[in-house]
Amino acid sequence: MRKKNFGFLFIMPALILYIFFVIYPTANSIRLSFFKWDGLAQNMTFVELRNYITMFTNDRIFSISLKNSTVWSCLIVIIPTFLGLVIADVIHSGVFAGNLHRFIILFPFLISNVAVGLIWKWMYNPELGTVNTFLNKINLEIFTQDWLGDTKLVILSLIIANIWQLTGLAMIIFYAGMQSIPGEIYDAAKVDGASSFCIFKNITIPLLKEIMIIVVVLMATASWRVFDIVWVVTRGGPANRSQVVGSWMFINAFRNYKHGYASAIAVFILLIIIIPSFLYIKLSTRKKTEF
Amino acid sequence: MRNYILKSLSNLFLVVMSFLWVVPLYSLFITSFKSISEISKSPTALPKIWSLRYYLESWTRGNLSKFFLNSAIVSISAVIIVVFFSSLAAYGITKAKFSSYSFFYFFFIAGLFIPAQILIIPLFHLMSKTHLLNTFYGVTLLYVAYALPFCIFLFCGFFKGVPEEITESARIDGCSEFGIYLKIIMPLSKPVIATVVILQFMWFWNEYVFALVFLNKTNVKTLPLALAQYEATYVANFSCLASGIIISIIPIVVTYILFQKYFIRGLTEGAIK
Repeated sequence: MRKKNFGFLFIMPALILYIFFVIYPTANSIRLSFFKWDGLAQNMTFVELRNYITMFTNDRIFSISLKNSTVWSCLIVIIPTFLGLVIADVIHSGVFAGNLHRFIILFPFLISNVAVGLIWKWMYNPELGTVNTFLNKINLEIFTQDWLGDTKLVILSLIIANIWQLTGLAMIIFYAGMQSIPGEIYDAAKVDGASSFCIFKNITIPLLKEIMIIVVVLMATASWRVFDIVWVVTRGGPANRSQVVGSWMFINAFRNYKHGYASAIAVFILLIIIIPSFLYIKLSTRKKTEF
Repeated sequence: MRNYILKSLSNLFLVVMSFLWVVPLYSLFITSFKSISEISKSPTALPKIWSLRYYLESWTRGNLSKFFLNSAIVSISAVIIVVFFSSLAAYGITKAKFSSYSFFYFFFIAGLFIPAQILIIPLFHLMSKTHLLNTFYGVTLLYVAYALPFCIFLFCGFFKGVPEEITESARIDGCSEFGIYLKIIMPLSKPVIATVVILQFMWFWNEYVFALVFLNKTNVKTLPLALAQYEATYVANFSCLASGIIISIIPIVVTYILFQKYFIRGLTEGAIK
C-alpha cells in the first residue's frame, strides 16, 4: 500500500508540468486545427476538415514548403548518415589525431541552431562570404553564386548548413556502436586477412543495422522539425522559395494570425513524425544484439 | 598493398572532411577580430591585429552581458529542476512498481516525439492567460516540461539496473522512500545525472523557438534570440556579431570538454538503449 502511494507522489511534480505544458497544448492544437480563428476574437468557427483541405488544394506556399521539407528530409537522411558512418569507421579503425577529428566533426552539433544559421549566412554572403571568396581564389569564378538570393539554390544552401550540423550526431552514434562491437571479431577478421573494406562491409555494417535505423529515424524526425535555421537565415525567402513546413506554420500563426490553419499544419508535422517514431520506440525497447 | 592504399585514401578523406568542417568556424573566428574595412579587403585572410575590441564592444555596448546572464538564469534553473523532477518520477516509475507503471512510462516517452510547433499556439494563449509570458519562470518551467521525456527515459534506464536488494534492505532498516531516493539512489546515479545536466544545459542554452514566441521583451531575452535579432538590425556589423556568437558558444564548449565522456554516453544511450 505504501509503495503505491509513494510511486504516484513521486511522479506528481513531473506529471503536472508535463500535462500543463505538453499534453494539454498538444490536445488543444489538434482541436484548434478544426477551427478558423485569428487568435484574438472570442468566436471561433468550426470548419471541420477545411483547414486540411485548403492545405493540400489551395495553398501554393504550403506545397512549396512540403516539397522543400521532403527534399530536406531525403538529403538529411542520406548524407549525414552516410558521411557519419564512413567518418566513424575511419576514426574507429585508428588514425592520427582521431579525437581531434571527432571533436571537429561534432562541433557544429554542439552549438545553437541560431549560431549555425548566422555562421552560414556569413559564409554565403555574396561579396564577403567565404564560399564565393574561396571560389574566386581558386579561379572558379563561374561557380560563384548568390547562394541565398537564388530561388533555386537557396533551399540547397540551407540544407548544406544542416548537413554540417547533423553529420557529427550521426558520426558519434555510429562510433559508439562500433565501440560496442567486441575487438576480437575485428582481430579474427584481420588474422584471416580481410581487407578493411571487407571488414566494414561484412562486420561493421551488419552489426550496426539497428543503430543505422535509429540514426535514419533521428535524421528524418529532425528534418521535419526544422524551423530555426530557416527562420534565422532567410525567413523562408526569397519569394517563399526556402519555406519549409515548420516555418510556414510559424508565419501563419504569428504573422498571418491564422491560428486554426497553422495548427492544422502543426498536426500534419506531428503525423509525419509519429510514423518513424513508432519504429524508434519499437527498436529502442528491444534488446541489443547479443554476442 | 591494396590495404595500404585504402587506408591512405580513408585518412585523406577524413582530413578533407575535417578541413571542410573547420572552414566555417575559421571564418567566424577571424571575422571576430577584423574591422569592416579589413574584412572587405580580404575576407579570408588572418587579422592584422589580434585585439579583443569587438568582444568588448558586443559584451558591453551590445548588451550581451545582460543576455548572457538571462540565458544562464534560465538554463541553470531549468537544469536543476529537470534533474530533480525527472529522477523523482523515474524512481517512482521503476521502484514503486504500481500497476500503472508502464502506462506512465510510455505516457512520458511519447513526449519525445512531439514537435515544438504543435505546442506554441495553444501555449501562447495558455501562458498569456496565466501571466507566464515574458517571465523567466514561465519559460524555465516550459523547458523543464519539454525536456522531461528524455530525462525520465535516461533515468529509468539507469534505475532499472540498480539492484532491488539495495532499496529493499534500506526499507527494512526503516528508511523513508524519499530518504532512499535522496541518500542511496541519487549518490549512485552520478554518471546519469552528469549526462542529463550536460545534454539539457546545452539544449536550454541553445533553445530558440520557444524563446522567440514567449520572450518578447528586451529585458528577458536569451542569447540566441538576441544574436538573431542583432543580426537582423545591424546587418553590416559582422565583427561584433561574430564575437557575440563566439561568446555564446564558449560555455557550451567548456561544458563539453569537461564532461565529454558523459555527453557521448548520453547521446548514444538515448539512441541505442
